[in-house]
Amino acid sequence: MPFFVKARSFLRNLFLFRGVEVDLDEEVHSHLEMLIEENISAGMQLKEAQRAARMELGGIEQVKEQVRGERIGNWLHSVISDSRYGVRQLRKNPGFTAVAILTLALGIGANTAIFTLLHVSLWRPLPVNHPQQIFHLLRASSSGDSAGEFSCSYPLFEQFSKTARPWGEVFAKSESRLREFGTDVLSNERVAGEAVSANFFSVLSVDPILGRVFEPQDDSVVGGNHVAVLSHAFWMRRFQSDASILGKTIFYDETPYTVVGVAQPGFTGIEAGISIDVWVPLTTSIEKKALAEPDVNWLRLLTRLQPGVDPAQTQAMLETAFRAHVADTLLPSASPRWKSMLEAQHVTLRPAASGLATTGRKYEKPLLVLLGVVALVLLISCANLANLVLARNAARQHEIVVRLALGATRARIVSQLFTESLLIAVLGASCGLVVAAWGTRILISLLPQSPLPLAFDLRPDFVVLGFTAAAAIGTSLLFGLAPGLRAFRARTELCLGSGHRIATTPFSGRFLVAGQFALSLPLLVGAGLFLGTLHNLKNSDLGFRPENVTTFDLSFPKQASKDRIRQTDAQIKERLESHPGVIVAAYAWPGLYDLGGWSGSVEVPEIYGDDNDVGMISVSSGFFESVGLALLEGRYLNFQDLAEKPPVVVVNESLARHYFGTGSPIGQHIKLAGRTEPLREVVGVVRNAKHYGVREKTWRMVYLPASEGGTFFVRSGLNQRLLSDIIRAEIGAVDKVAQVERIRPLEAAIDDMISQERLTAILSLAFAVLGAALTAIGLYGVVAYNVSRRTIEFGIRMALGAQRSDVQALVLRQTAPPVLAGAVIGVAGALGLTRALSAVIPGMLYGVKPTDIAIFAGATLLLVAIALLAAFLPARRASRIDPMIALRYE
Amino acid sequence: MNSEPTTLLQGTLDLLILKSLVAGELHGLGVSRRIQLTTSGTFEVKPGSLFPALHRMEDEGWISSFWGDSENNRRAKYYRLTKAGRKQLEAETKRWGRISWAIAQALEAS
Repeated sequence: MPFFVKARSFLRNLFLFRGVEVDLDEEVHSHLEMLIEENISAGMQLKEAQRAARMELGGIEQVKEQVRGERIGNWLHSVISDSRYGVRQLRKNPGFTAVAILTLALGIGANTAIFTLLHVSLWRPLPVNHPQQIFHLLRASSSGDSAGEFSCSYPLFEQFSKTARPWGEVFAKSESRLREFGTDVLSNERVAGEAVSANFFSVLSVDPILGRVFEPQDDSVVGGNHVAVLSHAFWMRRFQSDASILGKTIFYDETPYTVVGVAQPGFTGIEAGISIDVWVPLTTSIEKKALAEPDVNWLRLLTRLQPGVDPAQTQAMLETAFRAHVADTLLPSASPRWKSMLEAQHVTLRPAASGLATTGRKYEKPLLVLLGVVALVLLISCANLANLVLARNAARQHEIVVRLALGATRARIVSQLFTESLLIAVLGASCGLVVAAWGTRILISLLPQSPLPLAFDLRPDFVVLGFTAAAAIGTSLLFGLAPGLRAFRARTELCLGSGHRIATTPFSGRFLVAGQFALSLPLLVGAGLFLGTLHNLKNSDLGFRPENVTTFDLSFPKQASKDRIRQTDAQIKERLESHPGVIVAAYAWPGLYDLGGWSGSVEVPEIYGDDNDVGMISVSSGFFESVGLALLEGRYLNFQDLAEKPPVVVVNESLARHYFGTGSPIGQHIKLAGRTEPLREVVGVVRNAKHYGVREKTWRMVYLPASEGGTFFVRSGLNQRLLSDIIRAEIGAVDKVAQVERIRPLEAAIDDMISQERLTAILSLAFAVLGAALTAIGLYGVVAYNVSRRTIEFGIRMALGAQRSDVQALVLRQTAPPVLAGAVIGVAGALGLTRALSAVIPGMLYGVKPTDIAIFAGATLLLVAIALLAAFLPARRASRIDPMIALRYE
Repeated sequence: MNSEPTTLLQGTLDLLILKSLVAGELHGLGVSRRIQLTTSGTFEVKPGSLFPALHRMEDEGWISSFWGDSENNRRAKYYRLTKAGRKQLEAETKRWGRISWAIAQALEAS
């Protein structure tokens, strides 16, 4: 088929340019040699033969130029004329063009949006030299309860630095936090900042655009050198790029620092999505005592390996060093539980070319699933477009046939039709970029925005543009090629005379419909499964009652004394409770629904066992009442218990059953691990609650009396706004230095914990609806078109006595096979897909099986109902045909 | 008389090249010589016109090329007709027939 040969040779010329050039050169030279031989055998001398040959050839380079020129000229000419013709055709059919471009804009836009999010949060490399040399020095454990990643201490950082020296350089950073900032002592601003090791900038090869970055001595001075480096974006925003900031003093975290430099533009730290404003040296951000403490774990470590170094070997070395550190420094003073946790920890080198990518890794799986979903939606829209294009081509059959008769080659016609499709695709993709920009922002807003607001650099880059271009070309091939090939097979002899519309066989239309249904069904099933998961998570009983509870965090400056904190906490609680409408207020540490739990182990006199781990929360009086944790036996903690005369404790059901069986634990004593811990009397038993996540198992819990706490819980019937104002007012009245953060309903805090599932459910529902709508439109289009083709036939039937309902039934009956075939294939496909996915990505679903019959049945019925509706409207129109008019049309 | 075929319709040169390959495979020089022979010297296709035409026709898929050994054991690029090429030759021949008949008619009319 000439079309493909043509495409192949075009591609060949494009990509194998070198080879084609050499080939041409050889050919012309060989021609010259043969001319010379001819002349010689005709009797000329060598020199004369050569001269004559060269004259006849006309110059080697000229010949080659002519070939090249002709080639390019031909190609350009056909591209330009095809494009011009295509644009004219598209403008003649504005309806078709608009629908096509809109469909593609939505489909490609959705794909690009999700791809962009994956790209900026997970795949895009850091703007540093050789990012592939950067690794995350990960300290993690994968065993059971203590699975997770852990921070490292400063002594461990020093140990690793020493060990890795010839093979790589280790650098460290603290957690990024919002901290106080100002140009004078009284400050009310907050910036994103982190403390880093002195070699941070040099290892990452980040240069200063002003002043300098950290140098080794900034870290080595005891207490650290109080210098700060600003990020370029922050410098522009806050100081309007004023170079005089250099050398000035700023107050960060209430400590004075001297600004020594501004980092290069484009560098905002090594965590995608977190834009750091201020960097300070490690040694300045923590007390000297804590710096040398091997048990204070607050650093994340990374390393840049020398080129050519084997990461596996380096990892083995670091692991050995880690084990030695654990054995020498940590194990001797560790509790048995901590010992076993330490033994389960390992050090791995994880590639970090795109930085730490915490957000990206958290949402990687849902986003990849969603990428699959939007790809399916795009396929469905391609099927719609293919149908549209087929119908339009059929309407232009006349024109095509005339052109063929006038001498156009089939290849030209096909390539011209394809160019129209390509034009639509390019326009659709361009609009898609706009849709994607908007869509990406919406996606990001669906993610939890704490503790630091997410800030991705969303400026379009080549990767995203490349993806969009690939999508455009891919879709144009899908919906433009097949109809183009049909035109290719058009028969010349048909229909030059009469003005009839030539029918395309209905086969391809039905085939596409079946395909769309097959694709829509997994989308609906998937949405059903994710919605079911979300529903189960939201409704799962957490053990306490979060409705009507507002929570906020209260923090104090570092210098604040414990007494002051206690007093403030108590006063705030009292004052809040004095408001009408506030039922009870309380505070607790570490929190209620907090992934970072506080745990330890208990000992119960005369009851021995292996498994003595408990979770611990210290709570003020009123805690259980404010969060709605029901009491089963005994009493809640009250204010008097703070005095610890005698020391008391409240436990949960699980602990009571475990140690005391069916007997009452009230009056019994337990002791927490630790030399100075007293025996505590159990005064109450509460229901089990899930403090560490909806999907986590229930821990055995111990609730201790607390005199201070960082998180407050207020149960009230008041409107959220009003309550917020009251809270702020009361805190301001009690203590001006206390900082309140994150006032929000407890339900919102809990929702954040299931943000992944919520994101997946919302989006998969949106796309499933979109897919179903596109399928319905597609079916409607196909049936309507077929009906319009068969107007005469229906007219005849009705003239011969067929009833309206007969005609309707006929149309619907003929619609059934592709729909049912599509549904069957869709069900089979969905079954396979969901089972495969839940094997590959465990934990995507909660409380629903991947083969949940109700959801599959529901999705199938819904789809069939949609099909009936979409087909019914044209069917009804068919039955309304007036036989007289139909027959007259002939 | 030697005239440049490029002054005629491009299709005519294509026609001549296609026809010359009917009997079998030829390299570039062979095509040129054959055309010269069969037109009794009326048309001498210079390389400057021949090569662009050959490559264009190969791009269109009417002829295909391969490297082989020439009469003097020299490497040369040979061309042969493809199936599409044969069809094209047929079509072009018919078209030429119609055109030349039409022109002859016009010239004979008084």
